[in-house]
Amino acid sequence: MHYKEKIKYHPKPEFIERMQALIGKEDADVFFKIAYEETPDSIRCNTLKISPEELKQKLESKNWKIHQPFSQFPEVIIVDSELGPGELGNTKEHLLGYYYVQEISSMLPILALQPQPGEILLDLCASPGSKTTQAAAMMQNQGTIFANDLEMGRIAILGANLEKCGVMNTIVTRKDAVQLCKLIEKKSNLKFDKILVDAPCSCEGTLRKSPKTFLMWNVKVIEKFSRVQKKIASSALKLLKVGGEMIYSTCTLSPEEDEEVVDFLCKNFDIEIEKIDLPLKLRSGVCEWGRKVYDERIKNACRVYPQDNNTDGFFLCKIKKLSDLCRIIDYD
Amino acid sequence: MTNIQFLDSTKKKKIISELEVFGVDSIPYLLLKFGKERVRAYSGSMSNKELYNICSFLPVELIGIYFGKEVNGGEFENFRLSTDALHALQSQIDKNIVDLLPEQEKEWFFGSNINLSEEQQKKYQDLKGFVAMRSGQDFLGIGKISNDKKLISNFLPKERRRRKMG
Repeated sequence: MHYKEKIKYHPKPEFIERMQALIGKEDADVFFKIAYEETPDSIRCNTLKISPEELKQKLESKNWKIHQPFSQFPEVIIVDSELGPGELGNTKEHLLGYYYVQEISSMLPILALQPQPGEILLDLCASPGSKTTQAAAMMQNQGTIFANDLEMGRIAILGANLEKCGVMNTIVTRKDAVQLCKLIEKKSNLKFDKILVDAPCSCEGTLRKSPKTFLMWNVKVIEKFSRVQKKIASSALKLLKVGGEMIYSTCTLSPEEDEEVVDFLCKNFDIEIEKIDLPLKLRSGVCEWGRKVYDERIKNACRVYPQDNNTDGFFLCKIKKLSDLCRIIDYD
Repeated sequence: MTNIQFLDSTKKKKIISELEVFGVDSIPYLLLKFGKERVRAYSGSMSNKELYNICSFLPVELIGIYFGKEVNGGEFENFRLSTDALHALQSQIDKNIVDLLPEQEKEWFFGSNINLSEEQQKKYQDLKGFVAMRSGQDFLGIGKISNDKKLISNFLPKERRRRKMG
């Protein structure tokens, strides 16, 4: 969307107040200012099909200026050249599945989770498949990924992206996330080494690409999402192996959808919140919000603000399961 | 329950024999079918038995990638490999390859059939049926060469074609 179009959308006063309460007035001003600026073009090399070095050569031979911002993750590439509209998704390399167009913050959950070849991974809210394809590449198409989503249209997009990226170790299911977990729990002994819950959310972090979020933003929506997220995350955690790791992430910054959900897990499961080591500026999870005080361990969760790394906004938390203890009998 | 059918070793051997024309001598994946024609390939760790069991209680929509399709109704008399299966097997593919010129590559990505030059017609006179399309080191997909060697039919799926930019 063009800048002139974007500035038609404004944050609601309550949204501004909440961001100021969260990060202070000065920082909140920067947050809302950057919301009208585009994020850099970023792509992820699909190592199932090509090495980062080969891809770099191919892109540079098109006179693209690119750089790899993280030496330990050479697959992450930023395109510095100014490209025409739609050009990034219309190259031969993209059509052949050599790279996936993905915003940097969206790559973080899988970089933090580090799925390994041979592991069994559950990706509960998988479509459009950015993180599923990233996980499959890390797993070198070995082990198994269960990729789930609810709607047929979203499954079609997920399937198309898995095909294009040559992802062959995946079982795609279509079911409500909570119901899927219940079904697995009831009908099998299946437990997962790793789980990704990239939960549906109010999308405060993606204002830079969809400023219409300003219009849809409201506290009731946040509260509704928070309830759903608690159900999804707790249902998923029941399926994690003891010693296994789960990432809970959202592309929003409201503590009700982030820390409060993790706090709910801390209260009901025997878990540890692990520190996340990623090469960009990450802020700690908040332990107080309004009148609520969250578990202290939640400071190990990470907040990614758009103004810190020139990305979208994001929240992620890495949870290790210590035992099968669970205080929830049935969330419903 | 999802209607899943695994291809046994006899059927897999038949597919391999169809693909020998490309130099393929092994398919290191589990092959399965959901429908009548389309074959899918799964590289993961679950056994046939485990996958059957999973399909018995979970609403499974897809497993692995689309690998190829039986054509002309024959039991693998003709097997058309998918673009992604071509990529997955590319380390084995060393025969039945048509190298495209830069202009032809552009046409290929728009979904057009490819007219071969006289020089190419001579070069590829021994090829028949399905051929692997290549440009430089990149395998682009599967085509079918005409009997007179003048034309290659393009099977690039619509979603993989380049959009014409305005």
